[in-house]
Amino acid sequence: MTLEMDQFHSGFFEEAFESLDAMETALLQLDPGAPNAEAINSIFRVAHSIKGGSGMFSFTEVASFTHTLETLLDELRAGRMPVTRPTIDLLLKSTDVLRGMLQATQRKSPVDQQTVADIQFDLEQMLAKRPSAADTAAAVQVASAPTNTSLSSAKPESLRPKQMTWTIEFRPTARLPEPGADPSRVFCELAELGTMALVAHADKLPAFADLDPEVCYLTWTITLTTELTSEAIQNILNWAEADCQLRAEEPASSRPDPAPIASNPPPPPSPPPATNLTPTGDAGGNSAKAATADSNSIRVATEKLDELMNTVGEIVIAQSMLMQLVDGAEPPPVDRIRAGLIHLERNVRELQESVMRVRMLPIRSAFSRFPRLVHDLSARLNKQIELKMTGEQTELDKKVLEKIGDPLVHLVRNSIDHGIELPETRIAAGKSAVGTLFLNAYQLGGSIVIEVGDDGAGLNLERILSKARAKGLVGPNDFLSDEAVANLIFQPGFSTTEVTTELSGRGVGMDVVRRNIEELGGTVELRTEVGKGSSVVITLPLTLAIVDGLSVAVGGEVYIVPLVAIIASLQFKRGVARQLAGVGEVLLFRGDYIPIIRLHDAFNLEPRCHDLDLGSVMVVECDGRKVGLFVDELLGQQQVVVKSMETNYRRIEGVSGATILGDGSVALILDIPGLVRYAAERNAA
Amino acid sequence: MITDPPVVLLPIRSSVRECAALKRQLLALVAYPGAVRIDVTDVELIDTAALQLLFAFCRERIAKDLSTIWQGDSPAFRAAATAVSLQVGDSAGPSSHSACQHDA
Repeated sequence: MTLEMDQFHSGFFEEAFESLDAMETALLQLDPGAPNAEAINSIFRVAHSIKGGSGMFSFTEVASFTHTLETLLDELRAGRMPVTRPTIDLLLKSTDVLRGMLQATQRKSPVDQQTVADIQFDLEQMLAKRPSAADTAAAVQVASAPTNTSLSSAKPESLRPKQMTWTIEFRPTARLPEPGADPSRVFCELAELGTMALVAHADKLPAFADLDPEVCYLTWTITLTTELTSEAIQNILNWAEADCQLRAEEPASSRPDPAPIASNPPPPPSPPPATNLTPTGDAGGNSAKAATADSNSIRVATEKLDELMNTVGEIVIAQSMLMQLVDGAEPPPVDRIRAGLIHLERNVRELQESVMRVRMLPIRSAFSRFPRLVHDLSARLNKQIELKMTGEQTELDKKVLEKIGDPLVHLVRNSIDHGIELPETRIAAGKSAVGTLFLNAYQLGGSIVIEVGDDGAGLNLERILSKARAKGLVGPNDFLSDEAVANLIFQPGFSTTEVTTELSGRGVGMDVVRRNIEELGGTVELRTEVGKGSSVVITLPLTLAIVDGLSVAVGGEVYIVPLVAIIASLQFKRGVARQLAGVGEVLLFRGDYIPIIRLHDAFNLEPRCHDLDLGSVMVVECDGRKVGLFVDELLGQQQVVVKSMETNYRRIEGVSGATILGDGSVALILDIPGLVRYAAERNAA
Repeated sequence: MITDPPVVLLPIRSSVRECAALKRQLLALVAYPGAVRIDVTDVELIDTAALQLLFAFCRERIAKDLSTIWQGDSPAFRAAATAVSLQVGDSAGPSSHSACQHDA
């Protein structure tokens, strides 16, 4: 294939995925009682343009499926068929299937024929129920005939699911403390679908000393024989935090016979249905949507590129001016060169900011999965929920945006599952039967704030406190503020099995959410009011590419401490530090004893000074815990460009990245959450 | 002098949250030259993380030709190991030797 054709394909897929997202949003907004004609028209246009584009590129399977979908949509927009809830649900399923087909086509992998056939059958059945169905059904068959993959409704029994054997390669991806991450839950649910055989593989298991107990190294091959479709299996796998490869091994004799279509050659044997699933745990088609969002390309507004071009032009002018000054007069005019360098420096800073702006994307792409998630989960849990989203235009660095998706899904799920009450409970509490879930994003200084909240039951602080006391997390006589009690749900010890549902069960994965946010350099704050609801406020840096940091010297090395984590920098007075049994060296800071980490010990360096009063201590905070970092010297504040350790070398404990300093040397950027954990583990040991 | 083999008593709840402590305990014994006993009697809840840890421990001891003895019986332990298709130990009796295998 030529490069040009690849580019055309890439453009088509990008637009098709965006159009499908818009189609899904419009479908979710359709009111069965009073459907909006323009909304139906816009949905129809999406199907029509995808059909046209796929036909042009000879993606015949996509074109055929979209044709059937378009026929149904045409009936709806002409008013020949009513817009009902089942119709909307089927159309939503169709968008999932279409998205899967497009992804498979883009990856040049086989399309899941069985799922396509199932939904196409349902679409055709729905079409068959409308007035004058016979005529239109014939038209559908003829129109879809050239693809040889379209299945006619003439012999619907041939399409009905038969006993199939599915092989699933199951590779857990989440860390095991994450709720629902234990693979056994998925296996139990799958076993209920039919006859299941399970084989564990331990070839990825490292040496015992290197084993991280929170990582699942085991993988499994599941063989499942069932009458259910791949969709039913997928529905279960979607809830697993795992990479799953699902393939069918249907006996040849039991394969459905594609219905012959007059005047067309018999269809070729169907390739074995296969699909690569990389679920993110979302309901419906959101796993596929997440994969789309996590792409390597970025769409940039023309004005941003113009701005970039202008700045580069300024830099070229400044550079040639400097060259002239250096090559010209003897001696060189130092003052004018200095002024030129200052000008150049300003241009370079502008260039940096322009490039940063290019990487900024609206948070809409992270929010767009939630209407569907709320729709599916509220239906499953018999709850009535209205989703209110604001600030979708707020821009965030692409990298941050890609990583924020999963924590947001956890929070939204928690709100739906545990925060918002059932309609009858809400009515009994004097509330509207319809609960409200809100997502709000806005910029605050150099940070982005995202709020996820609900008007549900709120947290029962008394019960959280008694649970924490029972678990020994809080002493029997310790007094905690309401805020501190609410924050206990971020402790790893709180889990669904231990916190009752009336408590709103918000212990579910909240420790993981907070850890993920902190790994992005952000913070999480919880607000709650009994009977009125809860909200989680996430504050994130605008970008991960550049960090404001304080450079410090330890031995012969320079380290960067992210400014966001620093509470105070102290010069020690002799005798301020103490040795506490079980904690080690501590420092009295604002009334609390906090552990001291000597960075030279943590990184095995020979320090310039051992005495605390000769160096400096920076108090840093993470996870509500403070730690004092002892260093030889504070060097100064600066912005640094973050380089990935994993990409360029390997992961190092206590280090989140590296940067290149002005003198060309490399400085490591400290991972404050990692160091705080190190202090906690050192004390526990 | 004959000394009793060290015993690792698995707690009632042996889940991923207890794994860091359990790993420290097992790590100290992974190269222990004599037999090591693992007592499952108290186990009422065990998850995949803990089973994986025990499996890795057994596997490493078997590779070093060292003996691990499973002690006691726990239906929860057996059910959990079966659910993920791991044969970690043999809870048939106190004197039985580890059958640290998997079906792969």
